[in-house]
Amino acid sequence: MIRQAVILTLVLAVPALSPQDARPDLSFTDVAPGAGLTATTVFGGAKTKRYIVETTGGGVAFLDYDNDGWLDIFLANGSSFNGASATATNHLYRNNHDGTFTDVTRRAGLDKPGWGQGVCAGDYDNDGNTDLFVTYWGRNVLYRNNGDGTFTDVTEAAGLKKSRPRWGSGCAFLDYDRDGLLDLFVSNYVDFDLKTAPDPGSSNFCRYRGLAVNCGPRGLPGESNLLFRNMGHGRFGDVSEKAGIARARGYFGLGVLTSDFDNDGWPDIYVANDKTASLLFHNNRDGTFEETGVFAGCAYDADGKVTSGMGVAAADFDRDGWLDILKTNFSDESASFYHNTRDGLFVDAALQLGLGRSQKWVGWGCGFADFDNDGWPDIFVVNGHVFPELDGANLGLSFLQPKVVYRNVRGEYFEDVSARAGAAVTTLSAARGAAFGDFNNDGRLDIVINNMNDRPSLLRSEVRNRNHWILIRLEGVKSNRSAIGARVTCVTGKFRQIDEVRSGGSFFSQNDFRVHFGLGSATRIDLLEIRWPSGSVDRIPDCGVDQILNVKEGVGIVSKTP
Amino acid sequence: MPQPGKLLRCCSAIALSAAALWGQSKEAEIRAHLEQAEKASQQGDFHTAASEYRKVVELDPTSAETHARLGMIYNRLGKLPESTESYERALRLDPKLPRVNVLLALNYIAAGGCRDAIPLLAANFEAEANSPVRLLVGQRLVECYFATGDQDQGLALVQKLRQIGPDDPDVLYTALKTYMNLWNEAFQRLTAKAPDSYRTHQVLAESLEAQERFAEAANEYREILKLAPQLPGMHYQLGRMILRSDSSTDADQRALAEFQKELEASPAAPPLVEVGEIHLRRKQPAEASGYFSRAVQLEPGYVPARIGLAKVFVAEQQWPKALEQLEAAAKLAPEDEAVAYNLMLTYRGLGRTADAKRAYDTFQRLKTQRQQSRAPLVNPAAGAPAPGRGQ
Repeated sequence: MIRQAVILTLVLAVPALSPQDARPDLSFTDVAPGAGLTATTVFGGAKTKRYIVETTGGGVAFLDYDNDGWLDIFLANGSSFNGASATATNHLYRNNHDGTFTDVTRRAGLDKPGWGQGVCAGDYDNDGNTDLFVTYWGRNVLYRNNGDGTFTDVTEAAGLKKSRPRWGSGCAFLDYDRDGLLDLFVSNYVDFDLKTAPDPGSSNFCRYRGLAVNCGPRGLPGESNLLFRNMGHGRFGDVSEKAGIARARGYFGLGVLTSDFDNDGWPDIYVANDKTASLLFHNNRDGTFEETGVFAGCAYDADGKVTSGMGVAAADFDRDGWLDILKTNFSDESASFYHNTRDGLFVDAALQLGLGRSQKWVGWGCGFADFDNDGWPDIFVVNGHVFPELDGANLGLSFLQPKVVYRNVRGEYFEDVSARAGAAVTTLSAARGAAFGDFNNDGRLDIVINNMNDRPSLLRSEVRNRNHWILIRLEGVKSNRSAIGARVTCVTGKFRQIDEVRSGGSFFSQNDFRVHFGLGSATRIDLLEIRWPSGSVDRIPDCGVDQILNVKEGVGIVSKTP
Repeated sequence: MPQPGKLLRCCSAIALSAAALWGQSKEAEIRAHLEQAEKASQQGDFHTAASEYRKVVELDPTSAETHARLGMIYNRLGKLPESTESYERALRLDPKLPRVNVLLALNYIAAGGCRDAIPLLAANFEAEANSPVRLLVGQRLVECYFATGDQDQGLALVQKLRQIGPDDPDVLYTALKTYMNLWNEAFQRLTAKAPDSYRTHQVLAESLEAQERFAEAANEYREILKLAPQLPGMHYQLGRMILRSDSSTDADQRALAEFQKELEASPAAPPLVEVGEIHLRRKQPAEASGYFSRAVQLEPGYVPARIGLAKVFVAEQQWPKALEQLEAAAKLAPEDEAVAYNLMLTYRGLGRTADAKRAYDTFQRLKTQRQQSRAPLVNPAAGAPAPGRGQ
């Protein structure tokens, strides 16, 4: 009797926990091998890398290329200089709806060797099928989705064939002039020519902590970015000069992020640059852009020092109605967290928010994702050094590195929960591209990662709680059909969450187009508001949770699952 | 290496005027030989040129200019003793013959005779005040001072050359070589006389740090602390190296322990700032502010402490507090990029757009200046200074 009373007292003493308060750890399992994602991404030498082109790795895309409502996966593949990888190709894996994938690369017409880099998706011809753009050290390729499971290289017909090969890196479709047609932004990394490339160790730019390593990007010529306007009828025109994009020259461009940072309804463009100031192209709403990165406070770190920007992501982490920027950097540098202090002006608050403890890693793909559906977007970063020569050099650094996952604590700070997130997170790899999306449609966001000279990783979220969620797939009518640039506001009680449909992002990668919100314990959504790129606004009141909504511009919900 | 070609060109006009002084018949013969000599010289036929000049000298042994010209040709033929003899004759005939003393000095240097070259070069260095030849002469003079063991004169002259030609690549090379030679000489002496001293380990540590070999530098600092546990600044340096080299999860904690030991022995602003930075990385801005504030109180002129404090305020958008620190820092270090950058953010936050634009312009100017002078010279001895004590 006494014992029962003690037990009862203990039970009563534990306060009832709401789903948010329970705060279960974020947890992931790498299901790639069992899911059929087995092809190795070839990217230069495994033990040594003679040239910088061997270091950047490839991007990855979550996209629904066959419109079946399930995310498929595209992985960019590279090459090597030893001749053993002439048949290495990009890969497209079709989702079998049962947690597995089938390699349909050849059938889709996407087998192509070369130094693949970035990938971004968008329905540039508004035919209802998601197209692909793949950047290369060489010539970039636009693949038109034929709607029958196959793609056609339409680069030349679209006017995107360049006069000379360049090192294309990040990319994103966006409708910068809001005419309903998707335009295309492409960053370029280094003006790199194998014939003139210096040897490892041949100058100060080719040494790292006493080791002779591949040269660059410092010491090599920088690049400028490209903006192509969609002229309609499947044709693009290079407006880089006219739009003011090409004025920024001599940078080492990598990750590309498009968002409306100043809430003026027009998409801006942020480019993470390696070893040079990052760039913010503010949309002047007249077809031109002004580069404002330094004054906006998102070009440098908190000391005004240049960092080595790689991957990029945006989210309103503290629900203040303004989109913030995450940028991954090199080792010895904290990731940058540019907190939007209103009007598209930022301060780097990385250290104050708890992102300063992982300065040992070289960060690449990154994303905001509400893994535990508590309504606060968390952060995931994949890492890996650029110099395999570090292994065995006794410098306290390694080529293969773990991933890092931070839980967003009520928009106040981020808590590093990597050590408790499972072997999928702590396992060492040379990760590069990373894309975020719900591949199994269970309402929990998963991650696909492109690893260098290794098979990909597919990190299935194992978070188990009773939090609610919503996934929203948008279809533009007057706006571009992919609805890229649409902003969704999700109101539950006093909370307002925002996010946008984006092409590109992370490091060279493409996230799920569907907008995801974690809802915590909320069982109804008071209001979903969609501001379309066309300027029209759709409002959907009193909406159910734990479902995937298909919303059409001007129509509203056209279908839902379940 | 001497550069006689440059001086030869400078002196090329001095010989041709000689022929005008001679009698008509002899003058015609001399003129013919001089023309032949000049023509042969231009065609690179120095043997013929020498032969023709010798004929002129036989006809008129008193022509200083012709002896000088002959000396130049001998020099081109690699006949150093003959060249030297011709220059000496020329100068005996006309001690004021322009720049021949420099050519003679270069011959002395080539023959290993720096002591003979020094008075000639020194006189010419003073005389060539407004000529580009002065820098060339100065560099040879520096070499001779060091070759004859006169380091004081050599160093003084290097400084003078850097004032005259601050951006001249030859001058900068001379300075670099001079300092490097001095460094090597002192280091060899240190390792020979006190190979196991903490100072030897200190030099090694700083050298390794400059090469970004941080783990090895940390080991050297550990050796120093075994030999001289109370040596100021060493726990601080070890802590810094741990942070730079160690990827283990407790690296911060071990670095922090070193900084705390440093502070227990001798409070100083640099370790306080490092501790502040660790707390900042640990998402403990209040603690970080405390350490930065202590550093400011201890050493109000230590700019990184004020920047650290200001950065906390900037991230928290406490603009007036940030401004107070940054305006003080700007007075101390008006050319500091971090100060200018954070001032821009702070003025922007305060809505003082015009001030923000000015700070932006300052920041961009400083950035541009630094990028233009960003030659990553590796100074083998360059390490961070010990905290608060100078070197």
